[in-house]
Amino acid sequence: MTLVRLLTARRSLENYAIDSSDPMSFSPLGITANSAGNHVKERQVSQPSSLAEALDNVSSLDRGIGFYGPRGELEVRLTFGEVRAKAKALASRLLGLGLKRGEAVGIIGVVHADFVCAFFACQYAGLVAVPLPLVTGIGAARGYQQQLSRVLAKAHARAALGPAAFHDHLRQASDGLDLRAICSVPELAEMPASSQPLKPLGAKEISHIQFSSGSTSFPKGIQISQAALMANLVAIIREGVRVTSEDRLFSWLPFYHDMGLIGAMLVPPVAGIDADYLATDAFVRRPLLWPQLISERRSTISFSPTFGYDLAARRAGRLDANLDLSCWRAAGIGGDMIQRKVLEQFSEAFAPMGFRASAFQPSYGLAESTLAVSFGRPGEGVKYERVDQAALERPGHNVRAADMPSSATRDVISCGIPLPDHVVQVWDQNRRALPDGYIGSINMRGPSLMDGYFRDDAATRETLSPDRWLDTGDMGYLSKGALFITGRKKDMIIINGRNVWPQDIEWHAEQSVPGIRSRDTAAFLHRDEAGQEKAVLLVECRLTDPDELRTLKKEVHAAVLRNVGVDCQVELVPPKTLPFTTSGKLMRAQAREHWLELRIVEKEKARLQAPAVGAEKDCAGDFFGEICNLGGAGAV
Amino acid sequence: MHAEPNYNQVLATVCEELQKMFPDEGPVTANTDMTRDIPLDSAGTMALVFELETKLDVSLPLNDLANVTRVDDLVALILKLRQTPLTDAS
Repeated sequence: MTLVRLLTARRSLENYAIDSSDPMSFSPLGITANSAGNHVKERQVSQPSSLAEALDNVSSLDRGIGFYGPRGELEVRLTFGEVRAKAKALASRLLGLGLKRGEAVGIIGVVHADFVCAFFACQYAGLVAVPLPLVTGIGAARGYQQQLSRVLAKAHARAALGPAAFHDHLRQASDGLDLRAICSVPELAEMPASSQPLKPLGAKEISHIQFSSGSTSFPKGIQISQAALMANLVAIIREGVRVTSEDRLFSWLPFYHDMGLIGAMLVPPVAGIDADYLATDAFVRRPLLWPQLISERRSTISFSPTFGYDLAARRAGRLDANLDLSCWRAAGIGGDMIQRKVLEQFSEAFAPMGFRASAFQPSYGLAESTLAVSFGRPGEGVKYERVDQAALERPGHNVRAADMPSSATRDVISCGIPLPDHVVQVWDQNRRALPDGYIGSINMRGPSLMDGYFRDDAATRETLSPDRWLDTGDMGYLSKGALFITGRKKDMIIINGRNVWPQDIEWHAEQSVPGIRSRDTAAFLHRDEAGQEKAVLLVECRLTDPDELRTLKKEVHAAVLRNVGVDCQVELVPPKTLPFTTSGKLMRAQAREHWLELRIVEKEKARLQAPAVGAEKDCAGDFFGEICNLGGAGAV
Repeated sequence: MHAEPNYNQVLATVCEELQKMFPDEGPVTANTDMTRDIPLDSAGTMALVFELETKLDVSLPLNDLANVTRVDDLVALILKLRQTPLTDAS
């Protein structure tokens, strides 16, 4: 048995084999630091087949996780052995609640040691962890509770864990649901343990359900198997980031998001490396804690969406400490469109402190493929291609075609090479693979793919083909094996690095404001002449009274702000203006085109009719443009 | 320890910060509803929280902000938090 497993492990390691002359090419995967050159012995250690086994493998190491407080002070440090002991004790308590194998447990995704222990407790108890989102801000309580409620219901959760401050939200959210318990992790630890022996989730079972990808109004649970999880983790560790036993990771990414959960929380125990964490809201308020703690902890790996680098770069002027960031070898970027300018500003600001631009490591991934799909080569920095802007907007065309009227160009960042065993293809509308340089939809297959959306066959069929090709929904092209993303998910609105689904904006407007019906609204992203991006919401409206119009705009704006946290520009349009397909699907891109055209016409009309527009604004009869733009805060 | 700021001082600081962020929105008062009367989105909230924490030496958990809508709710929250010792940030 052992021999067979060893052989299988060796074979699977061969799949991930990389140049053995490269001293960075081995991964510890549960091995203590060894002298360099001892790779052969290390390669014989088997790849864990489940997360519980992975934690077992590292539990005797003097390695673990540390958590830092809002002012950068150490709050908790646990070795992996301590995490495992706590997780097992909690697992018995979860079973003590009477939960049955495979049932779901919601856990609020705070960046805290309790989350890590609770997540692993589910693994040891044979329960399915469901990381839950955090609340977003002022006045958000009700919208947040509704969001939690939808996720808990969809996952059929039987218990919910989180800090005491969240219990009221969880209680409100679970009204009418069949939850055995809502408690904090310390409270759970005090409960009676079950005498049942622990039977951890095994290689052929689910690992967890990830709810971060879909819209908040219509959440989709991504069901990740142990096999997919381990495949993705091992590929990230061995090939993507080439983790060695000398590495140490730092992260402030929320644990409910795939990048925080898989990339930041699960990579360290599986690779057997130390990690340090900062609470997400501590980072957002004091972004400089990120480079400060990296310098202090001598961290080597830290990933963030572009907006994280932006936040830190903007505050860099306020830095008074003397930092040494020469340790930071993998400054990963993922989770949003990578902006070269932001990265340049970041490296300019932090270069005097030893930051190297070659440490930037672009990546691409999505929760439907566990987390990661492709990585730039470690140490090579950001690579990009300058292509024709017009070609980018024409799927099926070659971005390097010479016949394009090339007035404008755009730099597209390389997201690197797909992980081993993962195949990425760019398809045209007829699902035919396109050659290098042609823009199309990005499709992929490989061992990291989700099982499907949890209890949602229709949604699964829309995304995963019967032969298990995943439609990523993103547009882009391949060039010499590297992946270039040119557009994120269709219709997705990305604001301040946050993915916002237009459905969420539309739904909340329709739900909260009387008189607006389903299919009366369309939301999309608009970039104005100054390059400022803003969510625009068109609302079909039958009213004509200027006061009523003004009130309606204000109500809609407030409903979206309160529930989705987005300051959108509300525009009223006449009834029956929004375009739908024959099958009844809203065409947001077309709605946007119409609006832009009408806006130009209205502007022109306003210019001709009222050459000297004063401060007095007139709403009557004018549906478009900025004339009564109550929602826009002067942004337009 | 310096003297604890009173309601009016905290209110003045909050109003001043919001007014700075939204100069075109008319006067911000204790009765301003931050979810309706001003376009304060999540990024704006973070910027506001940062400024208030720095100026008023308080840690504002996001979770507590979820139940705040009007400016005077926020002032009350700040005064309450200043009386309780810092715990965790989550």
